Amino acid sequence: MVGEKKYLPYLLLIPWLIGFLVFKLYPFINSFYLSLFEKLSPRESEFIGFDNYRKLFMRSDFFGGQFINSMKVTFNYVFFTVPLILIVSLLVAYVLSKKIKGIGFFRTAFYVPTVLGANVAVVLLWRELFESYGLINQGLALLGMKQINWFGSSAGAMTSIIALRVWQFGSTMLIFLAALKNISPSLYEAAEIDGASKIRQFRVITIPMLTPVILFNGVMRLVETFQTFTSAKLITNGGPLDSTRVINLLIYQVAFENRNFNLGSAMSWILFVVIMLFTILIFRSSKYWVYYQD
Amino acid sequence: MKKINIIVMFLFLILVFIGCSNNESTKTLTDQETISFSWWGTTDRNIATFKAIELFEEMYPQYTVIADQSSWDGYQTSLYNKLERGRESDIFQVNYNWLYSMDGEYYFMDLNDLEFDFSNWPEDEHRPLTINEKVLGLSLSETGYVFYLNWKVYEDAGIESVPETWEELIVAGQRIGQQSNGTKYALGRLDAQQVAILMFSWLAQIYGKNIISDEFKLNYTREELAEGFAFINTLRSNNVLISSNSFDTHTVGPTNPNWVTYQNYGGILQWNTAVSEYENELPNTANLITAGMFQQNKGEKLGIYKKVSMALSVSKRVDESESKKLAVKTFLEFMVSNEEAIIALGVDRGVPNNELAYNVLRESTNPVFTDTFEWQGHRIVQEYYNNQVSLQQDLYIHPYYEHDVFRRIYEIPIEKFLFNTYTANQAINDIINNFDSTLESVTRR
Repeated sequence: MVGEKKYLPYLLLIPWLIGFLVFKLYPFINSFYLSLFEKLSPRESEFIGFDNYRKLFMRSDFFGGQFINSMKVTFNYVFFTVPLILIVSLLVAYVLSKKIKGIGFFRTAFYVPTVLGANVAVVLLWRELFESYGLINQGLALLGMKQINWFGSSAGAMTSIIALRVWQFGSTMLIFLAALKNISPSLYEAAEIDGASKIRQFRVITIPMLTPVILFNGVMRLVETFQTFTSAKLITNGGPLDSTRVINLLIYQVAFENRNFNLGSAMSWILFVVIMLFTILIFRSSKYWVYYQD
Repeated sequence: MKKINIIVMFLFLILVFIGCSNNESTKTLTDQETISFSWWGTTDRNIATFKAIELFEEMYPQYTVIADQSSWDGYQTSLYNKLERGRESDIFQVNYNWLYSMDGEYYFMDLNDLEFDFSNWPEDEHRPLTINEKVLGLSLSETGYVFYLNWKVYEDAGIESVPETWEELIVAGQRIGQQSNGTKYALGRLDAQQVAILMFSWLAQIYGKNIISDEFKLNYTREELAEGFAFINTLRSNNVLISSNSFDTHTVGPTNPNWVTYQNYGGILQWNTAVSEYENELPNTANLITAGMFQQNKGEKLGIYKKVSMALSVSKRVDESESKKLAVKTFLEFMVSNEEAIIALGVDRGVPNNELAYNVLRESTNPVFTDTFEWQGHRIVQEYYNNQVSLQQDLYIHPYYEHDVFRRIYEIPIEKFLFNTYTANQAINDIINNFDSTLESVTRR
């Protein structure tokens, strides 16, 4: 019996372990191996070392030019999306942490977009909303405002896919909400006795107390937005003029549509390193701005 | 008891042996074969293909066909994947240039090994489908870019005759613009691929050249391209094309409301095999007509680029089984030579170029195929092409012109030009700087 109990946890881990080895670790290692080769024919590849990586940083190379453009687009997307998600979800969580009538309904309503996710139906609906004659432009017209050519301009198209991602702030909001509930009311009471306004309380108590959660949410959203794909693929397919061809979309097109798995793998590895560097950078910087109570 | 068991077993074995040695039943067993067939298509093509498969299975009950239909989106990627994993259908529909981009020589069976009879096709028909003397696809039809007009847009502007020359098209554009306060266009919005072929057709009418030379280089000089881009600008400033593609943010293609609902666009430039997608979306108030290819001078018939529209290829796996080979050959022959199948398939894969099928469709009175836009477009393409050949101009779409990677070399600069974020000079610079080197790299693979 003791022996059985000893091995039981490992037995229960086997399904996960198989999934991890087959679908995560093996492709992870194999993609690096693939990135060092160039395919000459269906069954013949040549070892070229880091030549694929070198090519990707050369603007004069066709794929290099595409890659550099896509990295720029991705940075653009990430640097607008992540702060916006954090700000919007924190503000909504702050409001929902108050005792308001029908709070349960509002919490559910704000979480619904996250449940729906960036699935095909939602993305296509989003496309309809932002069309020339879509609901957004009709709304602008009703307000007497100038209609916007969302998918006809680079800025408009990027705005529409950022808006879709920010709209799905529910899970980030829930984490903020839980953290807000954990801040001791005594801190606010003491601040009120000292005459601190609500805004000052938010700035000097709420924000510092939330910094560990801001760090967590920030890193999670950063990793996730660097890998965005569905909205760029289905709403704009990278257009107009490659302005929304985020890196994951380019990797898909190069690897699966152009059958260049070697170059696609090299791109994936560069993306992996970039995400890792940013994550390390944020963690390293956290000692200057994250406040741990203990 | 044991003895009885042995005797029963012995008798059973004799019966099985006799049963198996019966010639008739052996024949039935070995003739049974299942073949798979995949294609992409819209509803009309799917219905037609299923009907033809049904007819085939009725005529050859020993064969079963597993049909795998899909839409155009994702078909190519999926086929690529299947080929690499050896999971492709026995017979699959391909675009002719895939023979080159998909390493067809490696994955596709040489149809000569099926001992297929090509005598019904024109002699040169399978030349583009042949690599190193291996015929890798069975041609179903040929296609070319043809202008189709929504005549209602022209009628509303008081235009009485169909433009034949570019000059007449420009005058029509001006007229349509004036009558509609600039909201309607003689053509409207064309995408980068369509504008590219429009420009190269216009240039071909002047210079009589293919886009890619026999040495696999860009066949046009900087000055010639500058003329082409200047002509596109003329079309844009005269209400033939919209002045910037950024002004139309709808989905490009047949469902664009400016084509369907508002009928602001007076024409399309489309493969004659794909016109039904646009035709089917138009409401009854519209009036689609075939305009052919506009010319530099009245009466000329030049500037048509044609290609094999699509083909049926066979998996190399089929070669491993004689009975499968026979089944596949029978199926292919049936699809292109059985009268009922030909009628059922109609022109949903274009007007067939094999003489037998062509004649069956031409003679058909119910339905009448010669009235279709596909047929009219096909007739124009062939007529213009034959005229060009008589003038020693053999214009054709090069197998690498539409290569997934290579096409972006000219499409991206042209798209930027159409969105007004690039000048003609910038677009030409990009094309000239990258054309030859990228073509070399994609053909080397």
